[in-house]
Amino acid sequence: MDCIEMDRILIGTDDVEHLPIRAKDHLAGCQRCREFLTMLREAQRSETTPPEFVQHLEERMLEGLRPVQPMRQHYLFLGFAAVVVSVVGIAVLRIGAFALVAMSPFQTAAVLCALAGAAVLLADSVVRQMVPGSKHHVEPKILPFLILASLLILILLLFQFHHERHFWRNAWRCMQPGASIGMVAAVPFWYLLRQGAVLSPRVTGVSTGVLAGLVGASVLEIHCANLSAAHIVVSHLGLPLLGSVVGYAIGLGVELMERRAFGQKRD
Amino acid sequence: MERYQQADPAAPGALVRALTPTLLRFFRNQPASRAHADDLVQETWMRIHRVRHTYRPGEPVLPWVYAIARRVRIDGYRRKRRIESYETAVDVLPDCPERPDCHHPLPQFDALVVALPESQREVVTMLKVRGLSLEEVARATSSTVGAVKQKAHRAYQRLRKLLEVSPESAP
Repeated sequence: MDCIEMDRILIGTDDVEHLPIRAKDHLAGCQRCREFLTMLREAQRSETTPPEFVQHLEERMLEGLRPVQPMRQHYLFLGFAAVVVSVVGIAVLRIGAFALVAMSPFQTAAVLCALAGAAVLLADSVVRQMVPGSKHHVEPKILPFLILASLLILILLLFQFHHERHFWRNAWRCMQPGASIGMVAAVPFWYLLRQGAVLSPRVTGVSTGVLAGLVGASVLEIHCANLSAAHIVVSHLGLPLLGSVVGYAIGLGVELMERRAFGQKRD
Repeated sequence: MERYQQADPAAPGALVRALTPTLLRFFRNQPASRAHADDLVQETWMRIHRVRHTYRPGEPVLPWVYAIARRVRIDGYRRKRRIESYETAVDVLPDCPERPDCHHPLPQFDALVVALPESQREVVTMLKVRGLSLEEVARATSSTVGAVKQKAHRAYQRLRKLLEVSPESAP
């Protein structure tokens, strides 16, 4: 056993009693590791707290203490899912599902499954971000971009590039209703976010913005019969990307307001 | 924590007494928050009080508390940095003129941990000061166990190097 392996063990525990025998053997013969372990264990000494400080905190917390109902994560997730399904459903009913006729069954199934999967992953991540100390399988700041990259690859694999005469005009015409639909979805998302404790408004803003953008993109994927890969990437997938920028900006604004309120309290 | 959610008047006191010393240590381990540790602890408890409904019964309490404390520290740090950017240096001032203990050397762990990058310092502090598990640190930092392990491993390598060159470890 070497010192690097010893480090790996010490990350888990620095209680000598619980170290494996080979780690104990290494420790007996390695001065560096003994010093290192002593230094780490020294970290655990506790800080003295003045009793009047604790008393003051207790009193402040007892002011207006009322029972609260613990937040139900599943209901929140269902709330996000209901918003996605209802906004997409109502929008498609109003503007039509022309793309379903133009796409092959395989393309339809692949695109709709991918969009639904992406929405589920993002909604789950947003709900976990609303509950401090939740377990994350993928870091929330990476997930939206992983999802966007996966969707981009899928679109490039499923659709082909065609020459279009009025590419930008068509893209803009397609993006406008998509963006409006995304904004409609963002309003109930904002209400749902306010039910939890968002600790990183910028990260949560990006995730929620991408989710709102995905709602718009899903409607366009069902509605728009233009199957050119370039059009889908720019005008449909552009929506979640736009949503991430807007979400980041809103999150930044919220963070600045919170910081200002915190500063005023301290002053 | 569950009794606190049910408004049991004895619960806030029990929580404050159990967790305040380690929260203070958590803030004092970070150079940016050391001077305002008391304020930050107070703000952490106020936020905990405000968002107590987000604690889910049966889940570990410490990651929930540390996730909130971490956010308070970040807000405090950014605010301090903003204020410092407006301030004009007029003279060289002593570090802490009134405090009698300010010229005492820091304990070895605290002195070494200061040299670590922010994210590594945070992980090591949670792991070693409060004895959180890897999973709990991952929850508190909205990260994954793998990422926490990697940060801790890098931090340990750096701490070992610093320990070797520190004068206290010299024979």
